[in-house]
Order: sequence, then C-alpha cells, then structure tokens
Amino acid sequence: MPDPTEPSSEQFITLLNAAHGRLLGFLRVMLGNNADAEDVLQRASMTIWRKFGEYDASKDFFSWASSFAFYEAKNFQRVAARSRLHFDDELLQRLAEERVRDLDHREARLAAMDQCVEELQETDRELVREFYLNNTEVATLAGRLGRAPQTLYNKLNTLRRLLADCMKRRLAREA
Amino acid sequence: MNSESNPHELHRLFTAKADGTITPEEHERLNALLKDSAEARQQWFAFQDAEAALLAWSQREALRREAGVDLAGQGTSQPPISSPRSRGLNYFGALAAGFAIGLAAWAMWTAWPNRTKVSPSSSKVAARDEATTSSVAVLSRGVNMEWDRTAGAPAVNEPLPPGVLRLQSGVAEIEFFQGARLCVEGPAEIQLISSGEAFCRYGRFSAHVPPQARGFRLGTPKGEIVDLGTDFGLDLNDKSPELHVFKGEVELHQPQVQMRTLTTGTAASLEQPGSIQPMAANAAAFTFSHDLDARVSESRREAFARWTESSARWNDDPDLRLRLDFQDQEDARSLRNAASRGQDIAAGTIVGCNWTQGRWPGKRALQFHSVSDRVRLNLPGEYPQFTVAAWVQLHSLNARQNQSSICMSQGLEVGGVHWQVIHTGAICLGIVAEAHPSVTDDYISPVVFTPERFGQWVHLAAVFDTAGKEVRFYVNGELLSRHPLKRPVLPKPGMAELANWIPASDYRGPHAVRNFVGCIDDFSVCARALSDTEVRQLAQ
Repeated sequence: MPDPTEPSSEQFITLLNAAHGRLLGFLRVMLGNNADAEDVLQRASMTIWRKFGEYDASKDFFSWASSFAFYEAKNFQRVAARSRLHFDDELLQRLAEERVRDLDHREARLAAMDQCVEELQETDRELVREFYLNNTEVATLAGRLGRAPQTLYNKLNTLRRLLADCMKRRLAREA
Repeated sequence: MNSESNPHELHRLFTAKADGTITPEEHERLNALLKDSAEARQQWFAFQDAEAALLAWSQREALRREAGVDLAGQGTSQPPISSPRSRGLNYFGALAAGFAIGLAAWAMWTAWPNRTKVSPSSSKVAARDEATTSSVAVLSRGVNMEWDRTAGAPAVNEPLPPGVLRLQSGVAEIEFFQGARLCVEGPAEIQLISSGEAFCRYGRFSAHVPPQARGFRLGTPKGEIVDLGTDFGLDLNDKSPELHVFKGEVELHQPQVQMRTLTTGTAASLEQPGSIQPMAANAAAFTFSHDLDARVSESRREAFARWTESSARWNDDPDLRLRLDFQDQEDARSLRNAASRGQDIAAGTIVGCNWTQGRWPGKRALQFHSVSDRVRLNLPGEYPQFTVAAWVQLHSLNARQNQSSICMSQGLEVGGVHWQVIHTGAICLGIVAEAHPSVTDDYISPVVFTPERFGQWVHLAAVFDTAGKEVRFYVNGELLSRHPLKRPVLPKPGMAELANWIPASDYRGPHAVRNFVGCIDDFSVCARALSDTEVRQLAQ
C-alpha cells in the first residue's frame, strides 16, 4: 500500500499532462508566442515537481501549478527573454487573473478553428501548415516558395484574420 | 490615453507580437490597449488559442502526410502535449522535456517524424530535415600523410566529398563507397569524381577493385582506365607513365587509338598510345601499397608511445584535478584518476558501458551505447576557471534527443556544469546560474558533428575563462569559437556524469534522455583556463 502522503511521480505526470494544454495557454497570453511559453513551461515543470510534496490533492492542480508558471514567466522575462519587449507587470497580473477563467473557452476555440482551417483552399492550407511548422520563419519559407517575404507575410496575415473571423462566427453560432 | 482601436489594428499588433516582429512603439501601444480594454484582452486570449489550434493542426497534418498516420481520433480538442517544434533544448527544461514527452505523449512521440525544432539561446536552427552527405569515399588509412592544405587535409576515417586532394608525401588509402580501394603515394594529385570514378593527375597509385566495384574508372592525362575486377598499379611520375596489371583485367582507353585490354602480369606505357608492347608488370614499383599494413601498425605504435609520454607530463600539471586516461585493467569497473594533484577526487565509477579499443591498439576506451551507460564522478569544490577536454568518438546523434552529455553535473543546481553535444551537432557549455526556477547560461559553438564526423576521433576542449571573461571552444586543438561571459557565476560541478545525466539521485519521474552514443578514451578537468597553445599541445 503506497503511502498516500508521499508524492507519487505517476500522479504528478498524470496531473501535469492533463494540465499541459491549459498551462501552455495560460503562458502564451503573457509571453505572446508558443516557443517562449514552452520554454517557460518546461522550467516551471521542474519547480512544480520540486514543490509537488506540498500539493493538496483536494485542490485544483491547474490553479496550484499556474502560480508557479506565472512566476516562472516573470523570471523568464527578467533574465532570458530574447526580446526586451514584454508586457508590464500590471498587465501581466491582469492577464493571468482573467485568463484562468477564460481558459474555459479554450477547447471550444480549438475545435472551431480546426473546422475553419479545413475550409481553406488547399494552397492556403499548405501555406498555413508550412508557416506554423517552420517556426514562423517567413524569410526561409519565402525563399523556398520563391516569393517575396513581405508578400507572403501579408498573405499569411490575411489568412490568419479570415480564420480568426471564422472562429468567432462559429463560436457565436454555437453560443 | 488613446485606447481607440479597430479590430484590424489589434489583429496586426497581435500577429506582430506573436511573430516577434513588433516594434517598441507598437509594443507600447499593444500594452496600453490591452491594459485599457477587457474586450481587447478577451480578443488576445482568443487569438492565442487560435494560434495554438493552427500550430496543433499543422503538426497533425505534417504527421498525417509524412508518417501516413491517421490521427483523426486524436482530433480537435486535444492538441499534442509536446509541440514537435518545442524549443526544449535548454536543459533547464531537461526535466520538463521528460515530462512533456511523458506518458500520454509517448504514443504520439514515437510516431512523430524527426521534426523537433530546437533553438538554444536565440539561434534559429533549421528543422530536422533528413541528413544528407555528398561523400563518395573515405580516407581509410594513412602513413605520414602531408597534405597540401589549400586543397584540404582529411583525417583518417574522414568521409571525402568529390574534389581535388594533393598529397605532398606519405601514403593514403582511399576506399570508394562503391568498393574500390586506391592506395596513393605522395606527391600525388587526385580528383574524386564519384563513388566509382576518380582522375589522377600525377603520383603513384595502386588499385584493388573487387567484383562489386567492376567498372571503376580512373582517368589520367593520358587516357582512361576502366577496371574489370583487378589489382593494378598506375605510375604517373615517370617520364613515361605506366600501367601495370597484377591480377585480372583492365581496359585502357586512349584518344585516337583503339581500346587496349591488359591482363594479369602485363603492363603498358601510356606515352605510346598506339603501341601494343606488353611489358612485365613490376610490382616492386608499388611496394608502398604492399607494406602499408606494416607501416600503419608501426605508425600507430609510435603515436601510442608519444601519447604515453605526453600523458605522463600532463598528469603532473599542478592545476589538473581529474584525468581519466582509460588505461585501467581489463574489465575494470572504475576509472582511476591519474592526476598527480587530484588526490581529493575519487575514481570514476562505471555503470554499464563496454571496454573497447581507443585511438590506437593498446589504447583503451569505454564505449557508451545504451541509456544506462555512464561514469559517475564527483568533483567537489569550486572552479572559478576551468578547462574540460576529451577525446571522443561520437557514433550518432539521436534525432529525438536534444542533448548528448559529454560531462554533465547532476540535476540543475547553481554552479552545475553541463558540457554536451546538442542535436544540431554543436557543442554547448552551460553553467546553471539560478535555481528554483533554474536558469542556465548556455554557450553554444558552431556545429562540430556533422554525420561525416561520426566515427572519427575528435579532441574537444571547452575553456571557462573568468579572467578573460569568455568561454572558448576548441576542436582538434584549434580554436573554434569564443563567447563573452554572460555573467559571473562560480562553477561547482559536484556530482557529475560522463556521457549521461540524471536530474537527482532521488528523482523518480521520467526524465529527458541525455546519453552519449560513442567512445571516450581520454578525459581531463583542469582548474585553469588553458591557453590556445596549451590546448593545441593537449590535442596532439
């Protein structure tokens, strides 16, 4: 019989995996992009593991873990951010607070977007796929497709806008 | 504050922020707009979820296309737990990388194509496309080789791409990928054309062409030789260049004359295209190819003797703390510390691993292959300055593994030293600068290990030079790159592992795989920043 007070690594991994998407979504709004969010989440996971002994299993894991993610994000901006441009502390605090509730909409948004992207023409879908898979390096992508980077970037952003509008419409219909 | 904005402007600012193209002015505007408007914040949240959805969709698409795996069932509401372009290299994320690919993700992970995108620090590293090589041959052996460096100076076991090589003296043996073996005596110039063809301008050559390599073509200024499965010699040094067939049959194609066929024991002068004057083949002119075995053995013995001598001198260096020369007994389970001033550093403990031959016969090495193979070390104390050096033979880099440890401190404690090969083939020296949460200062060299370097013995050194405020990387004794120190940190390697890494002795979860695949036959830790000259001596 395992000691119930002993933190179990399996329990930890199960909880962390279950909360992974939301934690990433939580960090994205503070940091602005996926790559930084992933970096920070990886670091935060280490802290969360260290503190896991203090976790009260009757409480929501995400709420508990997100506070570590929040401080990790602030720390990341302080010492390791690639860009000096980051949101100020007051805004970060507000984003973090509001995003916890907002995450209830996340699943619906993801589902809606999956349908929207399927509605695109094949060539546009191709462009979207290449862009997101290649870490948004438009210059490289443009070189490969033999197109001007700015033209390509404009095209992509038009698609992103169309997709965002489509997502919004779908969500409004469902609501 | 002007918080009026239209949806177009907001969306443009969102994408610029997400893509890292935002200007400081725009960023200030975005910060203000988000602060002032709950509606804008809500749109920002939706935008980020939209981006996450598009990324997840793109990954599933790529997987469907490349691996032919239908992931429809894993669909919409569950984006991949670990983004395949996660920048999970940094080992402050090492643990988490393990978590991220843990359990639920494993199923997907095994199916993901090698796409994991990793960009240490700010460098953007290309996605993991399939590795390619343009090599057509390999320099298999050599004795006293002196190359004209302007045309390249390959090392033994180095794959050779098409191009010209000029051997000033010595003997080189080139094995073409198609199977032909060509022994070259300097001075000679040879141009590799393909895995079955070369052009010899001058020099003496001796070829062995097995049946699989039938049709091997050797061009000369005086005509072309097509081999039909033989041993032959080609002497282009003499005033009258000659072709000698020791065994088998070759065709000699020369301009304006009929093709001639030479068979065992015959020879022909290339200067007299028309004449059919078979001569007795003279093997004596090509002894360089016959006594190569003996000369190679001799030269290896000499190199080993030189190493033994310089090794003893190096052990007496006053700042040397740890020296593993790997000359321990057959089936030893620990590695003796040979540094004379390293009394406080215990022998390394071998876990797993196989003993094998090192750089020369008589030189012993450990082979690291499985995820369990490692040598446990303890390096107590502080190292304000240090040099780490090793002779390594990397066999491969696992595409699903971000880092391969050369020597890494256990865990992520402040002062921890992490010397590793990252998946791109670059070398990274990281010093943990902050803990809980951990932040590591990474110094990353240009790419060292391309597939062409796998299997070759390479001398690596990294210098942490506090006085010079820089980190330096060396390959085979030559300075590769220098990097300004990011901040003063006091390195404390502590418990460490050669060729592997664990997060902590009591850690129980899954963790990222960091094992090195290859051999190591020499390893040193010196509490001094060695100079360029000192590193060069060490690599000789």
